Order: sequence, then C-alpha cells, then structure tokens
Amino acid sequence: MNRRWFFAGAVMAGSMVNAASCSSVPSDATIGIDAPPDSVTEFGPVGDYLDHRCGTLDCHGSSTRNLQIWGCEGMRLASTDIPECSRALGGKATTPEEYEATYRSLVGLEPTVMSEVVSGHGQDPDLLTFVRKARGLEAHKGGVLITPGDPQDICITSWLAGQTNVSACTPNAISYPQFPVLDASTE
Amino acid sequence: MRALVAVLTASLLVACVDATHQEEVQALGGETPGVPRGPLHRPGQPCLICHGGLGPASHEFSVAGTVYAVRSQSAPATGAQVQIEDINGSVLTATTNAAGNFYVPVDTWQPTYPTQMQVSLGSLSQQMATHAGRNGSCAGCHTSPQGPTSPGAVYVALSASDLPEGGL
Repeated sequence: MNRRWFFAGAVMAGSMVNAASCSSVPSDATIGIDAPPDSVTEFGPVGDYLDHRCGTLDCHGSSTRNLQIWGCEGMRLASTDIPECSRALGGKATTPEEYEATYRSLVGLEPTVMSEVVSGHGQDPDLLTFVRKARGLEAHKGGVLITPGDPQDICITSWLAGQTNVSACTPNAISYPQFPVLDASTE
Repeated sequence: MRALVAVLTASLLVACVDATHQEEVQALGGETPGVPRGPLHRPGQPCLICHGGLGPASHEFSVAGTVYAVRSQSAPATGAQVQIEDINGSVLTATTNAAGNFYVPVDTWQPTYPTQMQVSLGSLSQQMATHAGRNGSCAGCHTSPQGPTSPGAVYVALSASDLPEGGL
C-alpha cells in the first residue's frame, strides 16, 4: 500500500514539475539568429541579382536544390506565373512573396553561420558556403561567378553587413555574365 | 564458389546502375511510331538525358534541342541557325533539321558555362532572355506548355503573323 502511494506521489510530482517548466516558456517563443535585412527594399536588389545570376531554371531556379532562388527570370512561386519579367510577353516582376522565399532559403542554409557573419557585420563572408562557392573557393558546378570587390561581390557582402549597396546590385551586378559576341551584337 | 562470385558480380553491377538516370530515360517513353532513331527523332525532348554520356545513346552531345517556328505551336523551324556562345566568347552555330532538332557532338565543341543563345531564321531572331548555367538540353527547361518552371518551347516567331508570306 505504501509503495503504491509512493509511486502515485512521484508521478504527481513529476507532472507538476513538467507543467511548471512548460508554462514558463511563452507559446510564441522562437530561437532567434542574427539575420541580414529581409525587406524588399534591402533584400530585393540582392534577390534580383541572385535571380539573374544564379536562379536560371537549370541551376538554383529549381525546387530540387538546397539553395532555391525564385523570381521572374527563373522559377515562379504562383502556379499562374511564368519565367518572364516582361508584361508585354505575359510575365510579371518578381513578387514580394518570391523575394521572401529566396531569402528564407538562403538564410536557412546555414543559419548559425549566417548569424555569426551578420553579428560580425559581414567581416567574414567566406564562412558562408554560398559565398565560397560563388567565389570559387569551394567546388561549384556553376563555376567561379564572382571576384572579391566586383559589383556582384559588393552586392552580396554589403547586404551581409546590413547595408545593401543597391547600386552595386542593380544595374551593375545584373550586367553579369557578359558575353562578348552576342551581347555586343544586340547593343 | 562460382555461385558466390556470380552473386557478388551481379550485386556490383546493380550497385553501378544510376537509378535516377534510368528513371529519366524511362520517363521519356518509346519512339514515335514511324520515326526511326536518328536526327529526326524525339523533337522537344531533353536530348542529353540519353545523349549526355550516361547512355543509352551512343552519340554524345554537348548541346542539343528543338526549335519551333512559332511560340506555343508545334511546327518545327527548319534550317534555323542556333548560335551558342560560352562565357569565354567561344561561339558555335548549329542548324536545325526537318524536325527542328539541332545537336552539337562533344568532340566538335564543348562550352564553358554559362552560355547564351540566339536562334534566327531569315529576318526572324530571338535571343534567350537569360543564360544557361549548366544544362545542354534546351528541353531541360524549355518544356511545353509554359508554366512556373518553364518558359515554353524555343521559337523563332512570337506569332504566326510575324512569319514571312508563305511561311518558313
């Protein structure tokens, strides 16, 4: 009899401890990280650059990739949209939802590393795999895309530092890649 | 002992099969009746699934695809010039056949990605709005119909009214 009461007491005590510990955490609590700016004003130009340079449908404009980039030059979020920016051709510009989807994919790749880079005011962007791949410091099927100090690099690193250099992103970074023959023939 | 060797050999062979590639090949389906295997077969399909080096086709291509005469229509653009430029400025021009197909054998030219492309036929010309990052199959992205992940098939004329009198 005493043994039964002992177990009942232990279960009750345990339940009370559990209830107390759970009730001390707010229901809307999250584990936060330091993240770069996510507004359309600050991330939008970065998103446009990424869409143009990295988001073609055969590269990161694909839902099968870890880094997924959405936008009017590549993969669209809405089932009614097509990979076309021009309204005249039936397309439309990248939507706020697409910028957010790209942002979440990019920041979510390595959240703790991203937090470290952002809290360090973007001083060590090479800690991030996507920067190392774009700079050619790590194997990348798409090859070396950016050189430290060029407009593309400044676009990315200024955003990581919390102060997006919009003019570096557009139109300068958008001018890459440059094809000497075909681009010249259409100028 | 022989049985053991046979089992081990068989298991090694199975392990070497690329199941994803096999599924991609299977998904293409069979040949169209009346069209023999060759330059005119399977227009609109992603050529490099079979011709990209993993088989089953024996001829390996670096870039290949199909060009249609008019946007969202099925008539091929025969004799169209497909100009492909890689990031180093190396340019190759291929010509489409009666099915609208063109192909570049790997021993002829291999681009360094990214690439840019333009198709032209007579006075009509379309330059690709974006670049290609890694895939030599036009139909890897350009599938019909248009949708969130496809700009539609490659074409030379936006509408039939753009075609010269009497068609192409």
